[in-house]
Amino acid sequence: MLRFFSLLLVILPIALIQWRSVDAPRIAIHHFPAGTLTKREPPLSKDWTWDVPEGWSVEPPQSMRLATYKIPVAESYLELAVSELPGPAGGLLSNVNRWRGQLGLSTISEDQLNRCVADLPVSGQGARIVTIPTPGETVDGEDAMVVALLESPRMTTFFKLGGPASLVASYREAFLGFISSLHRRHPEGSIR
Amino acid sequence: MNVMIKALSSHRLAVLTMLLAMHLVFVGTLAQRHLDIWQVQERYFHTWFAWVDSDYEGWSLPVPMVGGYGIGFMLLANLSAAYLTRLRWSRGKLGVHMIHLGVIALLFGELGSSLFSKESQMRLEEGDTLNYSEDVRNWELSFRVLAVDGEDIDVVVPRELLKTGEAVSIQELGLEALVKDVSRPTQEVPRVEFALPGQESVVLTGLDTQDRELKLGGRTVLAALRHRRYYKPYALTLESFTHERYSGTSIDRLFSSLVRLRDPDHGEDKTLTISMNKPLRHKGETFYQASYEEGGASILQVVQNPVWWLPYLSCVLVALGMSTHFITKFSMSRKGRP
Repeated sequence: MLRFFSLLLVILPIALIQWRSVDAPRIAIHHFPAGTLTKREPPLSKDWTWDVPEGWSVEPPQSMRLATYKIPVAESYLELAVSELPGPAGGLLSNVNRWRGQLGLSTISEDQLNRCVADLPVSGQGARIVTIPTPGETVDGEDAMVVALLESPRMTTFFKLGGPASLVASYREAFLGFISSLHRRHPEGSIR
Repeated sequence: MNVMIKALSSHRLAVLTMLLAMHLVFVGTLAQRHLDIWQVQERYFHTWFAWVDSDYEGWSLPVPMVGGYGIGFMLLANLSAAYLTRLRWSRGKLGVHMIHLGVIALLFGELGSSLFSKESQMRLEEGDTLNYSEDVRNWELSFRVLAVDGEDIDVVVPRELLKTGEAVSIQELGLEALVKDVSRPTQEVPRVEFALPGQESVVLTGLDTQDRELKLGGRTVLAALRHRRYYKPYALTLESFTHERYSGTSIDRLFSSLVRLRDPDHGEDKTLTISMNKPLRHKGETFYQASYEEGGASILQVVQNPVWWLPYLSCVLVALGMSTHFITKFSMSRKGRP
């Protein structure tokens, strides 16, 4: 009995170490429900990925922008600027008034927001679509913009389409289609 | 046989083993000037024999010595032999038996930890969901196929199987890759070059930020060289990360992660806080708040050690043994017996 225990105490550690050293790693195959894994790409946005539609051209990088696209429309072009800021990025009203200022329009109040803001479902959440000038508003300028805001707990991402009002109006549906096609970078439960 | 057991159970061997252990700890500590803690563990402690580099004015002479496993084994053999041959079973010796058993359990606990424990990390930005942790000291080659027959597949080739000039065959994907070059394990940036039949060579490095698309039998395979992953049957989402400093200083006061744990196998869906000294324990794994990155990324250290309870058991045994021995001796002396 004594010898058996002595032998066991001596052999056990050697056996364990040898067993672990010959327990060589091997090729492993992991299966997941479709849509769990995502393609790893250099991140433009922290939260969103998109496919650039045919015909759009990528403009040189600009500060504060993730990307700038030139979109040919009726022998002219529109510009789509993508930017991202942490948190709520100042809030919807201040951003709307900042964009209105860029078009030379006066500021609006919180109560007037709902006239220029609509919701659009995108990848299981809502995007805010801001139209400037507000539909029905009489303005002097010839330019207009449609902006999509996508909010997440950590970032707000902006897709700002701007250019001559007639072109913006004619391209509006295609732009909304593009926004609807955005994918969340890390959808619920997905892994990289 | 008796001579051997006598030598094995001698006090001289016990003292020699302890001196060797002290020397190993000393040289292992000095070695951390040039090596990181993991390399020191591997070269000096988790090995039977170690080669100690003795540098002296440009001369380098590797000196062999007994490694951590060797010393642990010697100590275990010495202790076991002494325990089984010298100690007699009696009520008066109960405390000493417990102390010996406790130290044997401690040695087995350390051996078990070195062989079976896994340490990895989870790096989560706010909003991220992950169902794996990563061993950032190791890497692997991954081939992923998305949405095939209603599922995504990740085929993983560990670094150890990538050898220059050898082929890697993955029947599941119908893939046969010839490894043309592979970086050494110690190289800071891992790199692998391989070729698929009839295609140009592909070079992947650990610095790549995007997957490489390969065309294989009409389908797209995404290849990447990445840190070794340990997939889990549950997922963690970082809801928010809190980081506070003492006012007017750069000294950390608090950092904690609010995480959502979803385990479909057990129907669990709960939100918990992981902070320093307040880890999350789930399915044999412990998640410690280890670090953070400026900008809101939380880094959790994930430790899996199936024998974590052995050191606690050994400490309890030794403490109880010492108390028992003291009480026994004390009561004997009160009764006038030595």
